[in-house]
Order: sequence, then structure tokens, then C-alpha cells
Amino acid sequence: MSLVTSKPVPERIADVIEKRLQKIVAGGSYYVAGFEVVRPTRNGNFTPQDNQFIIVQDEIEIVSDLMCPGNPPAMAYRITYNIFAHSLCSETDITPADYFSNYLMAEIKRAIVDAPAWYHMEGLAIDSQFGSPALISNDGGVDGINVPVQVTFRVTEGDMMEVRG
Amino acid sequence: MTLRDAIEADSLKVFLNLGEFAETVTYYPHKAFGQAVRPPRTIRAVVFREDLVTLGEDDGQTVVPQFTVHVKNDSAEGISSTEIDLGADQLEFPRRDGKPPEKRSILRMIDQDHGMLVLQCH
Repeated sequence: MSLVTSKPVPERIADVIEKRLQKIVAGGSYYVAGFEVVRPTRNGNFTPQDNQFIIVQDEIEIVSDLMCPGNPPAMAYRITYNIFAHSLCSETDITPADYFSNYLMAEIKRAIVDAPAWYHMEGLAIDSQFGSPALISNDGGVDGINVPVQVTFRVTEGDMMEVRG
Repeated sequence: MTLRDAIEADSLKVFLNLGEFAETVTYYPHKAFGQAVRPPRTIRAVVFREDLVTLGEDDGQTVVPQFTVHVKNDSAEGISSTEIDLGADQLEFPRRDGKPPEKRSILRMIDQDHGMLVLQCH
């Protein structure tokens, strides 16, 4: 249930990331045929599938060094958006599992940076950078890789809807 | 009749009895690497609808419903252990009793014998 007409900046950044990942699903020059991009709901709204991208927010930390004084002051935050890429190829596929993970990692990065001054996230962020990718450990279930994107942004203290430069 | 034969014979009429705990589900085989497309089929299954679990592969950051599904080890009336393609094959059944059916990926085979397969879906 939504009671507001404008979105908090972290939510708008998540929308930008989702929109960029949709390029992999749309096809074009991407090597991976993306299946879907999902932002999970509280009770799980997806079933794991091949070439599926799951966006989940992780830590939110205050970046004190980037805060600005003022009335009101500007607060700086850094949020990590984890992009889990699932790989569930056929059991009969003789391709090494890491092959798919490597391609997914490459295509995620290519899609995220596919925009002018991509790190500003369409004017919402001060800076963005990729975190260390982590292979999803396969215990017989889902394979794949996590590519984190760390986004630093500034908002008015007490109003996370208002971007501050 | 040997015990082995009896187990195989009982898999459908005893363990997968539609008048008791079994229901009909749809099996969607994945197109195996380098092979022809396999058509879906309706089979019997006993579905244990379990709680939400964290998807460990995603560092526990996502939750998905978990289902344990018992099917006959047979290529016509169930799913045979030789044809199943874990991770790619899917089963379609309602998430809750009375809800419309949804496709769920078969991720693991928990147990198997010549009569039955026990599969884990999410």
C-alpha cells in the first residue's frame, strides 16, 4: 500500500538498476539471453530459473565524510545493491559451470554501465562502483554469481525523497 | 511377486492415490542439450507445501517457498530418474490449496528408488 506519490532515492536507484538489467532480457548485443529481472517480494514471488537476475538491497551505511552542512544539512549514504544472477542450465550441458557465471558477470557489468555517466544513476547518485563479485556456491541447486553495486548518494536530512548534489 | 515388484506396483495405487493424498500436477521437461523438445504431461504427485525458506545460494537474502514432491519413477506416469533434468525441469501446481497452478523449478532430488522420486522444488 503506497501513501506517497514520490519515491525515496534508494528506491529510484533500484528502479534505474532494474531498468538497465532489463536490457539483457531485451536482447540486442548481449551474449546472454536474459530471462527476467526480479525484485523479490516478502513471501517469494519467483522460482529460480536460468539467466535470472535478482536485485536485493544489502547494507545501508552513513558516509560521514560526504555529508554537507546546511539548513537542512545533506546526509550521505552508501547502499549495496546485490545482483544475484542465477544459472540453471540443463544437466546434460557439457559446458563448465564457471563459463556461465563468467558471462553473467560480464553482461551485468556491461548493462549497468550502459548509460552516459552511468555512476550518477540518472542524477540520483554521487558515485557508484562495483563490489567484489562472489560466486554462488552450488550445492546441487542454483549456480551463478553475485555482482554487488555500491551506490553513494546524498539526500536532505529527514527527507529521503530529495536528492542533494 | 517380489518386494521390488510390489513397491513398483504400489507406487501409483497406494502412495499416489488420488483418493487420498495425491493430486495431479503438470511436468514440463526442459529441452536437453542437443536434443529435441519434450512435451509436457500430467502426472500424479504428493506435494508437501512447506514454509518459506531462504535461498542459501543468495546469501540468505531472498526467500522462496519450498515444496517436496513425491512422484512415480516412470517415464509415462511420473518422472523417470533417467530423464529428469534438475534445475531445468519444472512442475506446475498450486502454491496453496485452491490457488491457481504455478510453475516451480525442480532444483534437487532428495531421494530416489526404483519406485519413487522425491524432488525439491522452489
